[in-house]
Amino acid sequence: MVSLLIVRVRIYPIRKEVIIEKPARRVMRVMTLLRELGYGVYEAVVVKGGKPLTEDDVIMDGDEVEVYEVRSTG
Amino acid sequence: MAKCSKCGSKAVIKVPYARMNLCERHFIEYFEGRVAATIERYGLLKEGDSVLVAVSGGKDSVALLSALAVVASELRLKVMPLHMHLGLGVYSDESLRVVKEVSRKLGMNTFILSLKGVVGAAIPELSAKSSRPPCAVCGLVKRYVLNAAAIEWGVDAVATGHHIDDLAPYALKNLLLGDMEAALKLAPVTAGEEGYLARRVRPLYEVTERECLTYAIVKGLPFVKTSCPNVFLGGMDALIRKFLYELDLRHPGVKLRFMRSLAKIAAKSLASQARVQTELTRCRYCGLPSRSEVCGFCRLTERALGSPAGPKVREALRSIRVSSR
Repeated sequence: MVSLLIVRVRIYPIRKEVIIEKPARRVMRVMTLLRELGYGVYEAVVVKGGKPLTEDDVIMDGDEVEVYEVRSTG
Repeated sequence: MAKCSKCGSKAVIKVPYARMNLCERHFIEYFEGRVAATIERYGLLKEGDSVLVAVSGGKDSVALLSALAVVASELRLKVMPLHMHLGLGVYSDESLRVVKEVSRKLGMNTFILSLKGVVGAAIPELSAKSSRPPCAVCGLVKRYVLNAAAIEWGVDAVATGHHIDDLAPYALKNLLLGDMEAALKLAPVTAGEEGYLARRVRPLYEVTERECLTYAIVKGLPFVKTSCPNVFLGGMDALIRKFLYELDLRHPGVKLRFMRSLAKIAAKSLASQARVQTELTRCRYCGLPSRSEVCGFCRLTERALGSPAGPKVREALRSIRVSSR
């Protein structure tokens, strides 16, 4: 059976929700997720369960994460 | 998984210029320590000072307020948060809700001013009636009201949540455009003059925007998670910001060294700061600093509302009973 990684991502402050799907993968590094979303490694902070993740951390199938863009919005 | 350089537990942030990975606990210590060290390094505040803190409800200002609350107990500072409701629809309402929540969480009493109440009109109306861009109007009005509040309430300094990623791009832009005077105004402290011009301090001068955001998250501080409806992130500013980001990524710490150099030059240029201030005069309507006979705020409100609002704003602030000691 081919594995599929599905991660639900909520992006702030644009309040956009995206679903990332990666076939044949069980985990994905935060760095890869940021690249997928078009951010540089320090241009956004990824948070899982209320805790920030570093770029080396991994996200697993079924995870829900929040991505906060590092930019002033006011 | 990155491990904390101090205790070996799971890191929540990498700080490349300090060559450290930090866990939640040690990052909170690091951030608050950095704010305290900035205050000491540049002599921003001294023991017993009263400081008016501008709190918009964004991640930077709530991070500033929280870190100052920690530093305040050591320096015996009187921290006085001030929030202005700008009248930008649901964005302003949400900002106000967040500020109230964060104030409650930190056990602080925040002064809430409604622009509509104090000035007689909010940002959209002032912008439309004066035919000036909302961001220019907003910046001018906030600077004016903050300075006026500091003067009327007799506080020792005004603190804003500008961090290195706010300041460095503007400093570089001003240097590129040959405006050294404007660049020097982005120093960690700008001089004030009693009863006229408030001393402005920037305790987040040496922390990054990413650190402010991470600090707000790990401290569990509420902050506004939407954009201002008028926010504009393009033009030369965005390009310079991107350039500094790339540069600092390849040469960690270069941005910090740049801003420290600027602070050194600014400190040595006290004479030029004095010169800049002598170029200021008192607005004939409100008596606060102006480069011409009428200050920018009175000029704006006269054009938008038919009469200069400076005297009215000062009167309204004076009527609020505030103890800065």
